[in-house]
Amino acid sequence: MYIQTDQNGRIVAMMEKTFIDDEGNEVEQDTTGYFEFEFPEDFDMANFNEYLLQDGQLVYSMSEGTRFYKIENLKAQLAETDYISAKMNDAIMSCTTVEEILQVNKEFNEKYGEVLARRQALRDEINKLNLKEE
Amino acid sequence: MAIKASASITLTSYRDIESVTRYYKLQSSTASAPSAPTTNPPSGWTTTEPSYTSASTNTLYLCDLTVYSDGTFAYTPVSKSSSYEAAKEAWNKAQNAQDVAEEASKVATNYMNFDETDGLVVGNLTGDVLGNNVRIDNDSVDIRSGSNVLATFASDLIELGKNAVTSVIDLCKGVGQIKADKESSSDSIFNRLWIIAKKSLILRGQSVDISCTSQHNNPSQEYANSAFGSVSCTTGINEDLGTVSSQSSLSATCVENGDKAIIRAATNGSEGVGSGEIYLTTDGIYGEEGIYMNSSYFGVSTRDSHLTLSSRGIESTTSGYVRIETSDGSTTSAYTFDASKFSSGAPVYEQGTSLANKYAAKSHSHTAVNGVTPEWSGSVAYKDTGWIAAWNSNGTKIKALNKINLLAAVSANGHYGMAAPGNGAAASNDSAWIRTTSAGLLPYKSGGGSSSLGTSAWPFCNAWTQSTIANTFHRYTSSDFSSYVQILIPQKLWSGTMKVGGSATIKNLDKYYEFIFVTTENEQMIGIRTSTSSSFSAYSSADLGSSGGSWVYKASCGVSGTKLTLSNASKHKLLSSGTSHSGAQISIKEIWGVF
Repeated sequence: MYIQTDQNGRIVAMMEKTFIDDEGNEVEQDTTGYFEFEFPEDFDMANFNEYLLQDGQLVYSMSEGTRFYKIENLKAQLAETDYISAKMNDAIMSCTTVEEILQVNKEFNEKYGEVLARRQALRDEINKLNLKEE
Repeated sequence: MAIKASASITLTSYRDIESVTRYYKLQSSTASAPSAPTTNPPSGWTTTEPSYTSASTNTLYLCDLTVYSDGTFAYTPVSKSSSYEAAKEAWNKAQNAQDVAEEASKVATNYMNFDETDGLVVGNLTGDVLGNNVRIDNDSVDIRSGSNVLATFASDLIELGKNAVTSVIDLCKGVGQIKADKESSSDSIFNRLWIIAKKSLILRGQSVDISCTSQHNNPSQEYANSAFGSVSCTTGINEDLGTVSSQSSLSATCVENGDKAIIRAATNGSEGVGSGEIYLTTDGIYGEEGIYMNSSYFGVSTRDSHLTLSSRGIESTTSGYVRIETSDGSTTSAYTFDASKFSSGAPVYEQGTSLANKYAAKSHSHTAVNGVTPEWSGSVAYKDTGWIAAWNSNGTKIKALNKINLLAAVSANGHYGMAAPGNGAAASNDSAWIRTTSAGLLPYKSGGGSSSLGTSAWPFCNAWTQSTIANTFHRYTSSDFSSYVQILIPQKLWSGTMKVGGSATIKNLDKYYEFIFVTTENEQMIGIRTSTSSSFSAYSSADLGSSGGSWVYKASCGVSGTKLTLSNASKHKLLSSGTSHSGAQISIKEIWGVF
């Protein structure tokens, strides 16, 4: 197997020396910019982009692209329940007494408790990925 | 302390030897050796040493008696007398020598005699008549019968069979003989000496000369100006090595005549008989082996009543040709066979076929083909304006080639070109179609890059193919359009797995204007590089169906020379509500290009 790494040692491409075209002919590929490397048998080939090659050793390191889209997807999930927060905010803003505020809070927790917990977990996951909710 | 004196006396009993006496005992040597005596004096032993008696085979034993002063005695062990044994051995040798001398004296007297006249004669002298004997005198050793000398060996002369011309010298257990006989001719009787081998006789040496100075017993009858002799080889000799049969078949006579040596036929040694035959052969099969003439092999044989010449003496040889030259030796002169000298039935043959039937078409009639009647020029079946033809020996046409059946070559516009065969007097037809074989048309050699179909200055007008045209550009030129025409056949350029940041080096990358990126999810994105720009993007979308929304795929890349670099590759989910979206990086597994 021939692999290619970026300036940080991250594996960005891999290929065989040849491939078979539609007519069954063996076509030799140009390996310029690649070098030969033998992966361990149990290596997760589908996620090769998440590994760095440092001193000949494979080291796991999440790529920026993966990190970015993970956060984007978490944000998308969070946005799907933003309307509950807005709804709760509107309800609180309409209260005139403390007792009414506490009553609204109690009702929302009873009705949307699981959603609110899920939103917190999503925020925690985003923070864990070193990004803060806006 | 006082010291007391002391003294001691030693008493010794001493025994002296009174006398020593030697005793002898003579007994048969076959008897066991006697034991030492035990009494004094001993019984059967004497004090006197017996003397040796001639021819005695006895053995003398001895031992010594010692008598002591106290009256006791002792004997030494018995031993053989060495002097008696020595005397016995000396007598035996002397007796043997005397016996031998007496026998030698008898032989010398009965079988050998020497005197000053005859020298030493060895033979049986005990009878009244001396039989076969050997005489050795001062000048020779003779083997004789009585006084007749049969053979003599002298310092410079060896004579065998000396006593009679009928003597036979048998050699090597009868394999060969030397003998003599007498032959009578009209004017003389002379002896002949025979050297006879039962099978073959070989004379071998760096040079072997067989010379005959004269076959006449009277030298005065020799021819005045010639040394005359003969070498005679006679067949038909009977097994008893004595009788020459009447079927003697060859006698070759060498006659020295001036500076020439001639081998000529003769029979049974008679000189110059013209009716004799000569065979030159290396064995009994005439002409089957090589014969040298002027340092070269040749063969002449007769078979099936025909004379055959061959280059090594063996018919149908492959080692050389038999050449017929003109009398002056020129190989460039024309040869002429005089037809009148050959049989009309089979004048000259080539590989079993009559040359007359093979080439001489005048003897056959032929049907005109395509209006052209075969014509012949000399012995070659060729007509300059149309025909090459051949007929087999029975006159059947085996091949008739005319220009209708031959692919022609026509020189025009500075090059030779293919042309259809002509018809009749027409030389060729370079306007008709020429089709390939069912397999097709190949370039000069395999591997590519060795031949061109047209050139930039000699382009084909049209090219039609039903399927693949690979690795090829077609250029169309006209007054209003001049560019490369893309043949829309995608070609896989790269295969592997590529993420953002990955790149690939692709030959002729700048020749491709349309690209297809295939993701690891088998989604195909199409991008067009509209000019020689350094970047382009490819897109694709997929409908999510009942779940609503769709995926949008995008890949962006940069191009530099033959290097294509993937700068972005992602997919994005678009929901119908438009309220949210998600995305992910994607991987490219194939890159295809279209000219």
